Amino acid sequence: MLLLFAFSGALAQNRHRATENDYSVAVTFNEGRGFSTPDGDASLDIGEVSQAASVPGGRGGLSKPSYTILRQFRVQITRRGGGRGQVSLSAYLQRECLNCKLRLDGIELSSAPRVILADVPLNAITNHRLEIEISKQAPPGALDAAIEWEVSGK
Amino acid sequence: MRIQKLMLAVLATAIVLSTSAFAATSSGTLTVTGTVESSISLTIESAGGTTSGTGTAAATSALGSISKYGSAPTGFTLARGASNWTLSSTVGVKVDKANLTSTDYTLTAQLGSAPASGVTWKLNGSTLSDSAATTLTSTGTYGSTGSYSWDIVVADSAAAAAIDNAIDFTATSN
Repeated sequence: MLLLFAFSGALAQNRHRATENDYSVAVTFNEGRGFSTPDGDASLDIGEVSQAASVPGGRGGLSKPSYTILRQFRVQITRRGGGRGQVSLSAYLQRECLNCKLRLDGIELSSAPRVILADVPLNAITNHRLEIEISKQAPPGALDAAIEWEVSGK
Repeated sequence: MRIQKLMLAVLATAIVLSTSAFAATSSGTLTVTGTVESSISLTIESAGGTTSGTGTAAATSALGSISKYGSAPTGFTLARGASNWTLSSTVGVKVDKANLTSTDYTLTAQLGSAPASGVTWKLNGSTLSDSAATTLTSTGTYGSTGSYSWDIVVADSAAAAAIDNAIDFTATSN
């Protein structure tokens, strides 16, 4: 009898904790063709890019083995159903870019999650930088990658 | 024994349930798309005279006041002929490529406007005009600065006046 009460007590505590997909990450872009949906998925199209356009007029950048496209954006993490609290935000590549490297706030992304925000209050808006580094040796063509967000409650 | 096993199973389940709430949860995807385009870029790396903007696609060179019996501008040599005189230097041009399979390029040059009367502009020994481009090389090496001889030939009969002009370089991937 005692064990049964203890078991049901533990279940009751779990109902008040975050369940899977309880958080939403809203992404807003400062420029370019990007949008986000209420379910937390976002899309950014950087359009046609080239080294000549990214380093206009030369200015010493043409001799480097790669060039970088920069986009600024804002993130807001909310809990479905509202509420406050502290969370951490990590990111990893769900789909790798074959001929480019992606960096968030200077952190190079890979298939392993990397912490982007170690401790941030829910509902706060934070500013971030996405760098897309393209190798000059890469063939021309489509660029396609996907970044997955992970939010952990504190 | 049966009662003991049941107790262990229940406790293990409770522990699993209580710790699962702190695991990270997936909360959205940011998809990044685009199209990488081929490109080439041309920069003027060096030139005789007092230069500015070298290392970019738009450089300037100031020769100051020049005369047959004066001093050559910096970076130039002066040769006096029977009825004319020549200022000689070089121009360094570099072409870079990105996301392009081309192995070499063709470089041409053309004057921006008709030269002053009695003044001839030459690159690589070829006379430049403002009406048609002159080929400097058809086998240019990407990433390497090509050096082209640059001569300004002034006839003794030319009027004392400004000789300002522009040399427009065009690189085309082969």
